[in-house]
Amino acid sequence: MDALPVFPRVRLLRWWVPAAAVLLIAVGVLGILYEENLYRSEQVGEATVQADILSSSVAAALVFNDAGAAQQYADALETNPEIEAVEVYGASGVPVAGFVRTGAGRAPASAPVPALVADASRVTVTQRVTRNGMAQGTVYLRLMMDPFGRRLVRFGGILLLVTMALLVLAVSTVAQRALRRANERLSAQGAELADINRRLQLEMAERAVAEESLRQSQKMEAIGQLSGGIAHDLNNLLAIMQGNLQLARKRLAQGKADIQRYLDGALDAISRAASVTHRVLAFSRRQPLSPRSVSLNALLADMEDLLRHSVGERVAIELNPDATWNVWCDANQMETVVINLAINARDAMPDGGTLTISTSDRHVTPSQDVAGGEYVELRVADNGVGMSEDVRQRAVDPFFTTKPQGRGTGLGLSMVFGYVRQSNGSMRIDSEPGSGTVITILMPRYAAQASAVNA
Amino acid sequence: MRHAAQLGLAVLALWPAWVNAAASESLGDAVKATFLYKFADFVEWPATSAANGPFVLCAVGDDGVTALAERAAAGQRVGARAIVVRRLQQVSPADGCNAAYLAGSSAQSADAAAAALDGTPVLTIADAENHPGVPAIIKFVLADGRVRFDVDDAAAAANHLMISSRLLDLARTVRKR
Repeated sequence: MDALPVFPRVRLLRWWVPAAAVLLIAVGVLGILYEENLYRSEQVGEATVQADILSSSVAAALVFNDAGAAQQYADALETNPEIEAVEVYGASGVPVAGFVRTGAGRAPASAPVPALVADASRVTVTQRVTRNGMAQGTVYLRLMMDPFGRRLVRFGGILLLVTMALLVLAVSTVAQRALRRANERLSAQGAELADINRRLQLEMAERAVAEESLRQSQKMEAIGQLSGGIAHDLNNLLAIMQGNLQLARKRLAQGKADIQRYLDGALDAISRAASVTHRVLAFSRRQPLSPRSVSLNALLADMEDLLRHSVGERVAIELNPDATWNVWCDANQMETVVINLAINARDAMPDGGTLTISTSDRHVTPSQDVAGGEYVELRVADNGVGMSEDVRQRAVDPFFTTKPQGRGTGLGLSMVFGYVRQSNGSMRIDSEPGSGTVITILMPRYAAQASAVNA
Repeated sequence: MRHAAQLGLAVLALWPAWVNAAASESLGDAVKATFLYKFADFVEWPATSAANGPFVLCAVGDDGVTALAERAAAGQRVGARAIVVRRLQQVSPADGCNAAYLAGSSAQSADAAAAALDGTPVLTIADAENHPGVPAIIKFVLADGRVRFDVDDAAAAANHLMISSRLLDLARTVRKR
């Protein structure tokens, strides 16, 4: 497995987070400055408008020297809490009317020159009052800016937004960092996993090699088990050759030339011996496991010679190939199964008997041993010594054997059982002491053939 | 130059009235005399009334105010119009007055002068101290030792005049139209 990719986005984070934070703060500061500027220009505008209104309203009062009316106009502005001082001066510059809030600075004692002054805390407007193109006097108006605290509250929205944005940024940064760490941890684990996987695959390959050689050694063991029968057969054939050749020599010594039938007999024995060795060699050849569609009948027919030689003359072999379906299995392995069962049967019949091998088609209902469906049954029966219930139950255990030391390994039936289960088949042993043993193997029908037949 | 000197004189005449509440009779007359043309600034005449040419301020009869009227208005303007002060002993709509101060004379009492101008676009002004009950539009009164005025807006309406609310604000009393 490859290490997980690290996204380039994660790398970008390193510089854009502080950049975004700086940008946010800059935008916030700009927003506050803009608000502040707007507020100041609004206050300046308001002061100017109020001064305009005052000068326009007091004009008549100044024209007609009505200080009382002028005072009323000035007092009207007192309702605006932001205005802290108002003064109305007559044409001569003498104060006529006005007010100053407690605590606020006094208005100038004589009319100042018209001006507009705005500093951090107040706006001061001085305007000429004119009527009919003539100067009638001067108005002076001082407006307070909101205290800094109040203005700060007004900027609260912007401050809150910027703070929230910074917070979100901080949280997402932390989250991204955590994600990156998790990512790194994950890729480390991934590398570890890949290493474990590699080791596992290596072990699997080793195991496959070991299984392969185990299969081979089981085959060789079967041949070893058979060697007695085969040697006996070969010995018989040698005896036939020897007899024929001796007869031929005797006839030659008698000066007779009719040795043709002796030589034919010897040659026949030689070719039969060659056939036996050929089959043993074919069986013992190391071959890879390759399942294919196999006809058990054909397989048994091919093996018949080998089986006859293996079990010896005292055991008769009876074949009942009644099956019509094929099975899906490795033919080589299947041969090993049959040979193993034949050896067991032969060993169960030391005084001779009959080995019956039958095949037949079977429709099987589901049970705890096997799923329901179509199977081919291979039945290997002997009329040998049989086995006790205790032995029957342990028969397929690895290394369990009833044969004398050096004759059996206890792996034959175990191998057969393992192979059958691996092929989704089942195996049953029916036996009683003294009444022989029947081994029934069910192998699943080859599906392609089944569908071809059904179609 | 001469106008400037006269203006300065008028301001001088006005000045004590502002600071000294107890204005003397002559100072009160000077204030009233300056008020005469200042009223014009806060009054609208009907469009038919001659808007071109000088603003005609008639001083009808004889008292302290008529004597000062010409001097007070010298060099002043109503909007863009120059002011002409005309001294008369009696007045009629044919005299072409825009505003008339009615002091009353042996030939025509103040009340009679006001009645003569009734219904014509003339701003009539009289002194209620000397002629209480005179049917003029603006009547001078003395209150708290200062020169104030009452306005009869109904009479102004009868003469087709519009008086500015700013002037009405300054009036001691207003008779509504």
